[in-house]
Amino acid sequence: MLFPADLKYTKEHAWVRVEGAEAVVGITDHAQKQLGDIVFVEVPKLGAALSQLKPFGVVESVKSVSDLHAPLSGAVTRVNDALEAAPEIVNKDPYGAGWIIAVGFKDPEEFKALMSAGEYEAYLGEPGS
Amino acid sequence: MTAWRLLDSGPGPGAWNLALDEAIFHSVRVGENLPTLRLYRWSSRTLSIGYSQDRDRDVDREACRALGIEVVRRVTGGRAVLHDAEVTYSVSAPAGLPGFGAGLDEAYRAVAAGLVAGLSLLGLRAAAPAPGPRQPSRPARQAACFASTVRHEIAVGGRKLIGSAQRREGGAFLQHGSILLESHEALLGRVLRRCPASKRPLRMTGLADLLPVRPDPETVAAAIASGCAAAWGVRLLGGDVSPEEARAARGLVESRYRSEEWNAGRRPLADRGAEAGPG
Repeated sequence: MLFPADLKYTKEHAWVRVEGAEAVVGITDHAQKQLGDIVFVEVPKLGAALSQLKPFGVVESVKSVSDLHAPLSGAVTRVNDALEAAPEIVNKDPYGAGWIIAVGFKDPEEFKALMSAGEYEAYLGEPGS
Repeated sequence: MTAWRLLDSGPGPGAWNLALDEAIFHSVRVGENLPTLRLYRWSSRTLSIGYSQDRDRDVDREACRALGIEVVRRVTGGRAVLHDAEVTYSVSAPAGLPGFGAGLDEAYRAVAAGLVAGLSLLGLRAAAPAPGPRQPSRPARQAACFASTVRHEIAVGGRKLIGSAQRREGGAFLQHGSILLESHEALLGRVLRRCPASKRPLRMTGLADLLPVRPDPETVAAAIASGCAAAWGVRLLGGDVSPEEARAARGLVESRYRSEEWNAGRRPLADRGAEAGPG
């Protein structure tokens, strides 16, 4: 399983990549494997305000609808429109073309709540993760 | 031994049944009630469709109207299910209970073990869960849930007997599914548009086809409850729907399950979070 070192991670299996003042958000390789074939991704509109760790959308796989949780607070600056027609991109390339939204984050302090790749990998090894 | 609540709520209308599942899921999720196994039936035929399913593309609503079939959208994933001669189970529990694991796959596996144990108490020993993740590829393109068997769903001799769907939210999950007493492929072919049943058999089956005598629903419900208690190693305490759950369910019938906006799938995106706050 892949855990790119340049990303930050949450316990809800989201990843964050900082690009300037924007944080690009997706779900991890572990999450897409757990979910199985993804058939639908529902995201908020541009400009919607997200709160850290609160649900902001859903991802539906063949057999489950699951909440997506915001890794950081801020307004949605971009959404990945390609997922509307081809949600399976999240399975194929979870850290690249399968990104879900970008957020203009406001509070760098919130990064303290995120995990490094090594911490996330260790977290996945814990029982009940 | 963990204590669970057992609800045997008998037959109810379609919108009510789904509203009560959601109300129970909420109360269990916030810790107001014990993890809950609910068993129920349908007082009138209902077609439930998946959370993101395209109703107007997949469902022949004229045919449903003519046949008196209510069409209701679920909060869970998956494809359309015609609820008719069946016993329905629903499991609402926090993620990570012992034996259930934290993830989607483990929860499906644990529930499947309970269902298989229940079926074996009915004398059906050939039921087996389908293998783990990623099997087969992209069956959700089908309109009908019973058109394909995916991970940990229960089939007998390659024919699907129990179809299930799940929702995960706030560290808890709701999984519900249909245990068919009778297969109804022909009827399904009439109410769904993109349904292979109109052209070839779907490979679904019902307990009436598999057991020497068609079991009555109460017997099936009791066997499933016993099987789940044994497989999960839990104590099931007979209980009731709380007044708060009943009130919430009545509200959801109106605001969601009888709402054309919800059932058509034109829900505002803000329904799920961001602008509307925690959902």
